[in-house]
Amino acid sequence: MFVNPTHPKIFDPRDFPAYLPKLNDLYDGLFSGGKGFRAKLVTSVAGSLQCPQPTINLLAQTIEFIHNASLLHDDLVDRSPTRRGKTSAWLEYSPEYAVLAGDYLLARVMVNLSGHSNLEVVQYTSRMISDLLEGEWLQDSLVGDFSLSLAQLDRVHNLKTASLMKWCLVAPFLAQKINDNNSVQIFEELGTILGLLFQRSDDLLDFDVRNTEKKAILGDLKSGYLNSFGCFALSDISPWKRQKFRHFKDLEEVYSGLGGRAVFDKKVEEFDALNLKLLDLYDHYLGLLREPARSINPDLTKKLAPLSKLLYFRNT
Amino acid sequence: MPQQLKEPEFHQGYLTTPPKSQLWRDLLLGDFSPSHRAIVVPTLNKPGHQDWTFEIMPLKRIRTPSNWIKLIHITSATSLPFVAFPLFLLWTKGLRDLINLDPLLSSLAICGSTFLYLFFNLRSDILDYFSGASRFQPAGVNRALIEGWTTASRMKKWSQLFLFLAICSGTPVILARPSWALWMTLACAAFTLAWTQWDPYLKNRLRAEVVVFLMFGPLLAIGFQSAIGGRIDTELLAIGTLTGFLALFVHNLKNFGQIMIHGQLGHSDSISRIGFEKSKNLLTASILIVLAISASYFAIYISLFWAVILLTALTPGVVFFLRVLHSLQSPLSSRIQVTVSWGRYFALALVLVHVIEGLSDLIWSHN
Repeated sequence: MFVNPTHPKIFDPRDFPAYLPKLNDLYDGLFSGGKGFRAKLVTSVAGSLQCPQPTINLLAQTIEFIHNASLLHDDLVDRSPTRRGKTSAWLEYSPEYAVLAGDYLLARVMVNLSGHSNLEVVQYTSRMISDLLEGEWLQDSLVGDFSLSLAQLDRVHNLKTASLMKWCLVAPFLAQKINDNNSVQIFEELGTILGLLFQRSDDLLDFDVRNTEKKAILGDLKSGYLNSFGCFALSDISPWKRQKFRHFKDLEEVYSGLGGRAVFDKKVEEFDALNLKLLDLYDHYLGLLREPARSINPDLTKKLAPLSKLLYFRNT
Repeated sequence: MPQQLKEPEFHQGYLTTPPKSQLWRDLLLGDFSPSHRAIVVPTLNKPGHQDWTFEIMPLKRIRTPSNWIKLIHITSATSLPFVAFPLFLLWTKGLRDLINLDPLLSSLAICGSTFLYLFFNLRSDILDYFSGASRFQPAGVNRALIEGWTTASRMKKWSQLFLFLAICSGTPVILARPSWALWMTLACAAFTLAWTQWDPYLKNRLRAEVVVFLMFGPLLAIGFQSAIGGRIDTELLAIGTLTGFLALFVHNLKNFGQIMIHGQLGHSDSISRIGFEKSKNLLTASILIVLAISASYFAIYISLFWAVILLTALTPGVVFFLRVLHSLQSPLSSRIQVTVSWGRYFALALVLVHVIEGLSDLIWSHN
């Protein structure tokens, strides 16, 4: 397994045959520029559980492959023109190559995992990919629906976004064959919370809230999709007024539609207050893992503790 | 004895405990503290046998509605029209047939059936709550429990009261009509066993629909007719068929509103089995069948005039319902609940037309 110490992405050159045209260029463009958060998370958890280095590399590679496969397909489904500051793969190459490139990454995941001879990890990963695709399917079915509730959207995000976070926390346990179902289920809840917080934070960026990454704004709205903050902000607006938001092109129109900038800022405060409850719940579950009876490495809970605030407030 | 939690344990806000423990039981029943409620924290992950988490909230922080609204939610009173409807139809039929209706016996039979229904409903809600359904599917469990407006312990007492009232109302009827006693006892025992003892619960399976059709349809019709001394005829069976299909339609509609969650939980009712697209066809067929049976009943046993009134009044609503139903693109669509609501409005409107007909017939024949 090859690890490029100067590159945040971990991948094995044997996965990308040089004889396939454009394949390596496509992946080089895709893998560069990302933060590799999920790879770092699973590496951190696996390291605390004393997984051997080849296992850690495999887990990191797996999650990055799955995540990037979902990005390739996502960009085509949403017709997004850019990804990580560059032209999206479906535009740069073709929609067909983008689909095949995503499928190829998922296939390589199965090849490499099955070579690791841990059936539980393979099964859990397969379920996670299935959940991810189910979430994508459901999200696509909700385009144009501007009367969604946050609770409905949370079910989609639990499948789409949180499933990867859950995998990062649980897969190392399965890889080490640690038989502790109760702790695993707590990690699943932690993963769900991290996923929801990350998604909600990302959705706030779409409305230029704490947008230090300078992400393009109103991309979701312009695609006809009401994200989690949109659902929350529009929850007390009449259905026919909500339909007007579909045609808004800039933030000034959004402020005006909500009743002014002050109203918008109040909504952000209320949304933050709602998510503070999730942060409290996250701390509660982490507290359970610190109980002596569970024998969880305290180093792991220490590493996980700041993650929730980091993901939600994005270091602002 | 309920375990009284000490004040510092509230400070954290959340408590996690394994299921079936004494603490778990006390938190669910609500008896652990006079000043706090334990709200079950929902999960988006399919609940297995893992520990439950509760949010311990001071009572003063829980926003409760007026007592009337609370009572409506506790007793699920909005579904009472669907229980009262078959009884009303049978009672007016009895009057039309000029049978020697004992007003006291027939009133007691109606009251007894209603109280029994309320008892079963409350018990079913409490069972759902204890089963953990509220953790993954909060919308499918009694809202008064989920929001902390009341405790499971109090709801148990309400259910015991309704059972007592059902026994008090039903005993004179049983004494007057002993054959009815045996039938009612068997039906109730079978219903209770079927609804509560299976694992997974019957209500999540296909058999529940057969039970719903029979218990709100032909069996209720025959049982009530026996209680009031009426005869078994084709009109009785027509009433039983109509009310059975109406109850089935409302039951399937409710399941359709939760189709995604039921699918994730592995339920095997009709709606979950046939899936999202085919369920729309099933509900279409159901509403048209109910409308057709109702119109035919009016045309054959009442008058053509009332059949025309029914069709005129309800057809626009049916058309609207079908348009909304077939426009649905997602099991999570915001219009799912609109569809379910409109389906219920149709059912209530149908009940209303029959009630108006029955009352006008009573007034007319009295004059």
